[in-house]
Amino acid sequence: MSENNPELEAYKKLVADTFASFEPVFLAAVVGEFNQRIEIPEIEDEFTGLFFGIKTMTDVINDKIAEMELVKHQLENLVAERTAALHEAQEVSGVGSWVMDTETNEVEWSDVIYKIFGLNRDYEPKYHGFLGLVPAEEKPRIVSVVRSAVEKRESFDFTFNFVLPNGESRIIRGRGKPIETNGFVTKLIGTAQDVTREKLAEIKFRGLLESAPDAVVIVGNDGNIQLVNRQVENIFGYNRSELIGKPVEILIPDKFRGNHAGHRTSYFGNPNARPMGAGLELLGKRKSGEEFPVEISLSPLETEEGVLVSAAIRDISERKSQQSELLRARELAAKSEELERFAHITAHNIRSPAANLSSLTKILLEEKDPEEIETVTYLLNDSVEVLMRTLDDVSEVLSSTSQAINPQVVVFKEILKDVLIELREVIKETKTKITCDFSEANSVIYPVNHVHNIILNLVSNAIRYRDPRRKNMVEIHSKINDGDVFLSVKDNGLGIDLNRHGDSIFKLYKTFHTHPASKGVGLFLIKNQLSSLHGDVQVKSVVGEGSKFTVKFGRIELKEA
Amino acid sequence: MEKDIWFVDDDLTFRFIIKKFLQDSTCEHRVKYFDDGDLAMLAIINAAKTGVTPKLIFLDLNMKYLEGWQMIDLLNEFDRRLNVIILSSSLNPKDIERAKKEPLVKEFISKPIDKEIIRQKIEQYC
Repeated sequence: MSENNPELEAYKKLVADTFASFEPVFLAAVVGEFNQRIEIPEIEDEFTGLFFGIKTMTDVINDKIAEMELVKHQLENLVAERTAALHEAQEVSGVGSWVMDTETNEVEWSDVIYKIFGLNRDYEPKYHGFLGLVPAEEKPRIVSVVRSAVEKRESFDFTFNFVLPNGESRIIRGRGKPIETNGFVTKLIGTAQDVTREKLAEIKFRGLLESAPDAVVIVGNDGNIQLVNRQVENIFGYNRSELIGKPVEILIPDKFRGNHAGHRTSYFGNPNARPMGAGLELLGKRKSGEEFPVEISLSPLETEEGVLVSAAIRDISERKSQQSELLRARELAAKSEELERFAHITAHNIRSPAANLSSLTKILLEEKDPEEIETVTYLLNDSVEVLMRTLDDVSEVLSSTSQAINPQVVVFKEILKDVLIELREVIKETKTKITCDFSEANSVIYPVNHVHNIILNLVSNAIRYRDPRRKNMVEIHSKINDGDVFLSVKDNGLGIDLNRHGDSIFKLYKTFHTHPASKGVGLFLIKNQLSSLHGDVQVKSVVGEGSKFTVKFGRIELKEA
Repeated sequence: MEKDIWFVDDDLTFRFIIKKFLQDSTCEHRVKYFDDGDLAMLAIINAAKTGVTPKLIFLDLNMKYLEGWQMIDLLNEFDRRLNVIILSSSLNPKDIERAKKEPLVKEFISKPIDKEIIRQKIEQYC
């Protein structure tokens, strides 16, 4: 076909003009139809016009093809660029990609995959060939996930062990998905990644977790348990499977659950390693429902899935019980010491009058002088009374130490009223003025008989050791300090020389006033009762001015009904 | 020559008994009674100034202000030549053990006392 025929040129122009109005879509369609193999048919002369037209159209088509070649080239460059970038990305990330033709079982690997498996580029990957490289025990799993992908169109994501040609072990994460053509899976595409380091770290972490002496619970920021170790199973009595995915509150007694979610959220807002509930007694709850004291330390774990919190939980019920055993042993030791003292003093106080009785009786048998007989008889009687009083004291002490402790809300005013009724004769007789102020603390949680005994003893002491030279005044006052309830009884009586007597005023049978009614049981009992419930009694006194006894009631929790 | 014999005991009935036990004896000794260890200690200090210390002290253990053993502690620093006989209703083994260890303490006699034993001890130490 000549290109230099002027007629032809004219026709070309005509046809070109005619076709110029054609939609490019049409052109594209034509190009699509005749692409690659435009044949020029033998055409009669009368059709020359059309022929030329077609020729002209072919030129147009060729232009278009060239244009599209350019685009294709540009696209190819782009793809090459992208592929290079992808390769680079694969290099950096260590994630290689692969494609497998499920009909031919031919496999294409990216460079990184060769690297991962330690193979040279000249290795020709084939599915079955590759299966020959993996350790025998891993083969069934790989076959199984590939089969599921092809037959059930399932994606997969799993890890398997691999041994490099140089003998090193690797852990590989393989991911893949099926690609369908016309309803059939024709290809599998996916990635492979060397996760040996991460897995080893995870294995090490799990190992550490398992060997940790404490129960460790790892919780996500949704509050659900993600991981627990064996100690959790041991301590809480749950199986792992019963805990994973459950809210961590399952391990907490019901009554604390409500607050815990809030605490948890605020911890995730500002996670830092610290003991939980500093200063509080924390309780855990076993599957059996049993609650037990725990110590918990929290620490945040940065992970790919965000911040996790690891809670190390220690069952301290044994320590607690050891502590309370120790405390109890100490109390018992103190008590037995006190009892031993009590036994010796009692023995002494019984033996003394008894010895006197024995001697006096002998004297009486030999005595002739009626006046002396009278004296001896009087002394005999006196010794019997001393003996009786001692025996009364003994039974009082014994009954007070064996009384059941039954704390309740005790209103001071009511107890004082009872005490004043008991003492009304002596109050009237001594013209004692008693004032009270319970406005700061009108009650205390305590065994009622203890409170009664305390007030009775302190008030009757304040009356007994009054100074006869002035009007006897007794002030009773209660207050709260730092959560503890205090009660004081102040008098303007004789006072006690504390330099001389100090602590011994609270000991059994220590009486310091040469006073007929004085006996040492009262303060001893008060001190004993108070200290057995972690309370105390103190005294301040100035001889000739008066004394002030201050009782600190130990804190007792009311048992829930 | 008259010797001083002291009884340190806060029990007035016991004092009466001692008086009765000693009244018909041919005892030529001066007997003094003290209500408490502290009074006896004061008297010892005063007696030392005049050079007349008691030959024998009968000492009770349980007293209000200065107990028997506290007095022994003070006597140990004051005059180790004294003779002390503990006269107590205590049967506490600790007291009996301690009595054996104290050089000042010559004997430990438990109440009730026997008239003859008291007289015999006075003869023995005076």
